[in-house]
Amino acid sequence: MGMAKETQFHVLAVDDSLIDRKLIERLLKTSSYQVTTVDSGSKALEFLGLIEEDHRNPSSNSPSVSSDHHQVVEVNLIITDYCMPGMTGYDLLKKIKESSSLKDIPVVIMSSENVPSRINRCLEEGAEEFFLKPVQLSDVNRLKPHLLRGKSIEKQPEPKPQQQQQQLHLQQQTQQPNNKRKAMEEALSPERQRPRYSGLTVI
Amino acid sequence: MDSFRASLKIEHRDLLFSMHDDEMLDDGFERLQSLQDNDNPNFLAETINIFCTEMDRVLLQIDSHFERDVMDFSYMEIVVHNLKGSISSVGACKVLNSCVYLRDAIRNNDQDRSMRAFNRMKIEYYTIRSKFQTLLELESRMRDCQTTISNQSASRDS
Repeated sequence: MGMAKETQFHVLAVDDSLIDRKLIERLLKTSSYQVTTVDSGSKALEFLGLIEEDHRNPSSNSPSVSSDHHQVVEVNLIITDYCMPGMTGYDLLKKIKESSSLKDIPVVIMSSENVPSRINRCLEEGAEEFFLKPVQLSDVNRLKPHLLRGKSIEKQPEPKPQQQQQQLHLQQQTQQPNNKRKAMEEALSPERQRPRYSGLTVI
Repeated sequence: MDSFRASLKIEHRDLLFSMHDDEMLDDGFERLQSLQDNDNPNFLAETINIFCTEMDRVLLQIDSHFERDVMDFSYMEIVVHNLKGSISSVGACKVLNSCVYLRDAIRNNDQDRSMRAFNRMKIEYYTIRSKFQTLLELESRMRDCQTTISNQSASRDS
């Protein structure tokens, strides 16, 4: 279980239709993704930790995922329905792209209607793909490259401890050529008339 | 017991064939079936039940809306649009067609046509709902049969 958790991608699916949530969850789980489903854009933002949570009453009804921390759960991709009451999929997409902490999460839009202007608007706003409903397994297979790309961006290491070591190593290296240069200078110097400066190369 | 199960299987298969033949079901339904496996043996039943529960609820909603003096066509359009999504996800072809017809009538603010289209949709839905019930019952009985067979062979072996 522990090993699987490391390589498993976590997808957040947003859809106000219960049937479609069930379908997309099954499709994603078939592809071995970890899935969380929510029924609205605002719940999605809450899950992603974008909405500042005031210290919530523990006895409240809302599902608590994170309490004191932002974004305790890592999400690798968001797939959302376009047509939802209140916040549409497009509104959700915009909010995600405007957020410094979330903008790199790939977003995919689903819609039951094939409206080219809608599709273009979403793609221009930064959606990776636009799926026509009913979503099929072949559509879900197209998610992999976006997920893998996201992971590789994440893997840029925090170099601090390593950097210090590298800097030390570099310093040691630069000292040696100076010494070498000095040795070479001394070897050549009997034929030269210029004065000798200790450790400095005069250009 | 084996032959009984075999006859259930045949009944199940024939029912599905006839539903496809009558164009009640399209490949949306096959997609649902393909998502069911040994790890998720109840997926089809659960999805169909969610669908029927939603349809029952929304049809009542639309029914009571038609009883009003003035229809709110823009509200109805949203309701029917959402319904269309669920129907399409389940692959109920004829219900879908009648739903599209209803949506068009609503878009044209045509109350009479909307009512007729709505009645048509109800008929199509009730027809498929009863067939779905039979289908799921057959599946359930097949599973019970399977359990009985494996229990019998287990007790024989012990």
